[in-house]
Amino acid sequence: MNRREFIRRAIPVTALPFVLNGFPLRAYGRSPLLDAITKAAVTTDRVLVLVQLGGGNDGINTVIARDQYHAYMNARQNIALPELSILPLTSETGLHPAMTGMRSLYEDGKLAIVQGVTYPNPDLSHFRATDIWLTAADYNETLSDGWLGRYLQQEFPGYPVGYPNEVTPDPLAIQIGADVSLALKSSSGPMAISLYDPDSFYQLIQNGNNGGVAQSPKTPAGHELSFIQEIATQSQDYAAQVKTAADKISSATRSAMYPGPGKNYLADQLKIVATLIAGGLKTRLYIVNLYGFDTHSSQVDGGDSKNGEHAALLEKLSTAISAFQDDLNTLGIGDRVLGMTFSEFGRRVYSNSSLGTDHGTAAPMFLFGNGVKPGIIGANPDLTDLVDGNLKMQFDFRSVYTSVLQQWFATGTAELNATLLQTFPAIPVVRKSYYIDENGNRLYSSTCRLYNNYPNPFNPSTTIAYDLPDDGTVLLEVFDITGRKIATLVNGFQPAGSYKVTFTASNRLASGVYICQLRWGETLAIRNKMLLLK
Amino acid sequence: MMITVFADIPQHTEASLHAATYTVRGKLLRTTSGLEPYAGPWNELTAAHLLRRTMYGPKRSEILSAASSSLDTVLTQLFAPPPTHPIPPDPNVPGRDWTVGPYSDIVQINYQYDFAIKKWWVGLMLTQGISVVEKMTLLLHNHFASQASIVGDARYMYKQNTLFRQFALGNLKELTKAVTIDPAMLVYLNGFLNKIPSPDENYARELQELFTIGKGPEIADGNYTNYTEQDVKAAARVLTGWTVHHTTNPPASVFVQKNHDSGSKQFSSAYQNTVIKPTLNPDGTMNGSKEISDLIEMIFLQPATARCFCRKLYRWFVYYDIDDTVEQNVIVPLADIMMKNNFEVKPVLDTLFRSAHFFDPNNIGCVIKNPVEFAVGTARRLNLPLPGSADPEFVKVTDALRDTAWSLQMDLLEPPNVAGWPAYHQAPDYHEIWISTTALPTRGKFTDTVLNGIHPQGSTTTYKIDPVAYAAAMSNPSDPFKLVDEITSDLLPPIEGGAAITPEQKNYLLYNVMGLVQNDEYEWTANWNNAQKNPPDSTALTTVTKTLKSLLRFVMRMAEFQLT
Repeated sequence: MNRREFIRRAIPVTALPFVLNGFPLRAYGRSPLLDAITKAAVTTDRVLVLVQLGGGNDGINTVIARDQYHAYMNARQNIALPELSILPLTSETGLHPAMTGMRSLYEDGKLAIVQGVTYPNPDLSHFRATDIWLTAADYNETLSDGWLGRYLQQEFPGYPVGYPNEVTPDPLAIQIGADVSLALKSSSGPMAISLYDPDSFYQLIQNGNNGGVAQSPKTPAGHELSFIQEIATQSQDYAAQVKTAADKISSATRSAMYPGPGKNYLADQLKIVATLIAGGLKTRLYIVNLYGFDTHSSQVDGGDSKNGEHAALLEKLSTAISAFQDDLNTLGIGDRVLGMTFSEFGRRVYSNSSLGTDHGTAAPMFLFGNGVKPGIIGANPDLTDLVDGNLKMQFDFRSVYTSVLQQWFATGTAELNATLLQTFPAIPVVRKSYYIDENGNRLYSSTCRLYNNYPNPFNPSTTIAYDLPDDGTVLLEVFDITGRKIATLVNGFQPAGSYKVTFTASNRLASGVYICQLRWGETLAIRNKMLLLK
Repeated sequence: MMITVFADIPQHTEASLHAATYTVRGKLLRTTSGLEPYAGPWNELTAAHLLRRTMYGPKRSEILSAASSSLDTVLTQLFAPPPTHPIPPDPNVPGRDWTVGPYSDIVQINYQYDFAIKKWWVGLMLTQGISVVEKMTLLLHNHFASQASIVGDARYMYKQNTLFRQFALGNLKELTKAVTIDPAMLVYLNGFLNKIPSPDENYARELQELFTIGKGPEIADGNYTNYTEQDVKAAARVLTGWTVHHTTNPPASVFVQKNHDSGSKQFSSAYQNTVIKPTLNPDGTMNGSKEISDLIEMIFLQPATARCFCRKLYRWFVYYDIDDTVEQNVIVPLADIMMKNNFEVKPVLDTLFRSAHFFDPNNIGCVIKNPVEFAVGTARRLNLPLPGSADPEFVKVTDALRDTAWSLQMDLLEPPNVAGWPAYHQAPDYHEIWISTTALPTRGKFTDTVLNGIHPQGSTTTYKIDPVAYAAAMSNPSDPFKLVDEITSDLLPPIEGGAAITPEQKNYLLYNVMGLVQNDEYEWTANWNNAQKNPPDSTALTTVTKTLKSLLRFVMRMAEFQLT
């Protein structure tokens, strides 16, 4: 914000009302540029929630390669989980025993795991590695803005000048906590506000003043002054919006799965996020965090590898995410929210003698939500094919970022390039039925459809049309009215799309009613009656 | 994106008396001034700048006194050796020296003793005279960061804090040797678990990445310019065998030879392919301390180490933005001075605090106060009434200030991780990290409370600053124009052209905040004079108090108050 703009916004010098606890109410103007500015954004009520696991989560003890148990035990005997304690997801892969909540999400088709995520030449320093994840930089590149900051800057150019406004009245992004993550910084400053909880945020702002007159010479002091004034402005601008949203949601309508307040720090944060989304904030991004994953020592209890610091953290993670997901669906907003975990690195394959693990490289990421394309993407990491004792990369984390932006937010190619600065191959992380266009409309029908056959009645051939909202296994069969199978028309994997199949009745079939049945995925069975008239 | 300096930077020469300015990122004006001695006037502005940067909330009386003295005299005061302090009072057994007390008595209620240190430390900051020692002590805690909650023994944390204070004006190389086997650090970074055959690399990595030479760009796989992954592993082997006897009183670090790697440790070309071998004592046992000393000497031989320390000092005392010009004109020559003086910190600080760069107008008022400085400094500079430091009430007041700093994201003895508080290392925001939509209103709430009254936990007394007494110390408080000038100059740094506020801001304070009526401003004079009578006119005193409270409340909520 330039000095003139700031002065105009901050100090109507004359006729100041002297009302609010002795401090003037700040009058701020509206920019005529707003309409032009806001048109840049993709219209969507979609939300992305990032869960940062600070310290470097031990992926090898989180998502366990059941098919390499011998190698696993061999590498980390003192911290390896007992084979039978592992929660199986598939015959090859399982979860840490503390993660029952996320196992249920997996079974409900609301959890995806991307295996082996890191980047070329991974860095083993917490600070550098964290910066790389937050800024989407190459290993040898230093960026001072975050990937989500750049994304928001593409969508909302000009921010913070002219914000909030009628079209975008709410914070673009909210960090639950005391400060704003580097991920949300842009070249024009933080693109997010931070708050602990809506009530105390509002109460603090109630007594505020904006510090009166502004001046911002180009000196370092002037630079800092402008920054502080901008934060003061944002606090005031957004406090009431946030409070209003929070007040709309009564606790009676919430999931019962949350642990009590103060028992699970991550769950407390996610509950606030669910409150604000359900309360109507148009905020697109949230960041929450859980720290303590730097388990150099005492990762497990001596003699009981199922318990210990890491188990406690994963239990918190799993409980918080599954309660949050349940809450979102209880509040009727589950289709709008996608969640994603990340950590600056995984840990060394071989454990150390302090019942812990040192800094490593590749690790799994979790994505969760109704719209997530469920399943496990990638293979289990090979625990014997290592580089300096560390796992090899399967996916660049920026491929995951690319996929989320494209598939969840319908981010266009130009914006994507400006956000991630290079091109990375996308991987399917969102159900196709959840893909949207730039106006926020679903690209594909959200349900599987079986159309009436044509012609009907028929003799001997008729065409059966159906739509698949997503990739999946299709079984299309014809039965007679006694339930005897007459024909299998389709049996196998098909990508999302619209299909037509011709059924030709054989000479031996008598006139009468036949049933066409479509099965797609695990749950759907749709039937239509067809009349053969000879 | 990356900070780039425009190509047309005027080059600094020894002959240039007047430093040129240049812009960074097209907007930020910086200066080419370097370490040449400051040759400008010594006055209230310069004295205030020096004391504000080196102390917690210098009082107006201290600034005026310094201004009437000389830069030499003030620096001598700032560098005076620290006095010895009584130990933190035992919260449970009055008068007991718990710092050497039985482990079993402490460990169950360790957090109470961690808190005892924190409150005591705030007390030292609050009552310190003209000295840079307390700010240096906190700098060292931030640099060699450990978290009390992970260390788990307050006796270690006290011992470490004492070490920092002892070395605050001492030798950084010797301090690094001492920190390496300091009990708190041995526990915090797993040094006590580092033994053959599977060394724990934690301390070896952070020693190089954060505490000494610093991590450079990764120029090849596992090669961070200044050191490599091989050096992390080799250093970890040098450091094997140290542990802490935690049940002894006082706690002690010990070297256990059987856990030590007796082989030669080969370092990379970043360290000139140095080989460190075990040294034997006359009795044939291995000398673990000597091997550590060899390691630290090797690291400190590299110029990158001194530069890394100098950048830390710069970001603490001057500003966070170190571009190529500052690197060349300030950091490199300062690091040379540091190496020439064998890592004694005093000559380095002395050079910096005398330099044209330090007093350059572009470097004044640009540091965002950290939460400790904000809380303690506000109480100190506005003369928050305090009980005597031996009074049990004293630590209740210091605890309230500690709690404020905690709520603003700076919990003493609990930096967020081994890198210390991100405001001193996280690019590009650095100090700006302290200010968020949460922190800024919380700061305002604190300054309101200082005026309305702090109610420390466990105390029945209310502590608040006396706005009338504060104003009475100004040169002519009955003149409202002069009063506003002096109060804002005392509480706010000069932002532009030497003045703390603009004429528009001054008008706003006079007519909107103090509520004076234009052309009738001297009504204030009458009120002030009546309030100063003996006995005072109670109506006038009420009016004056209320008006001054409004003024101070507003000024302390100004963005400028966050800066120093």
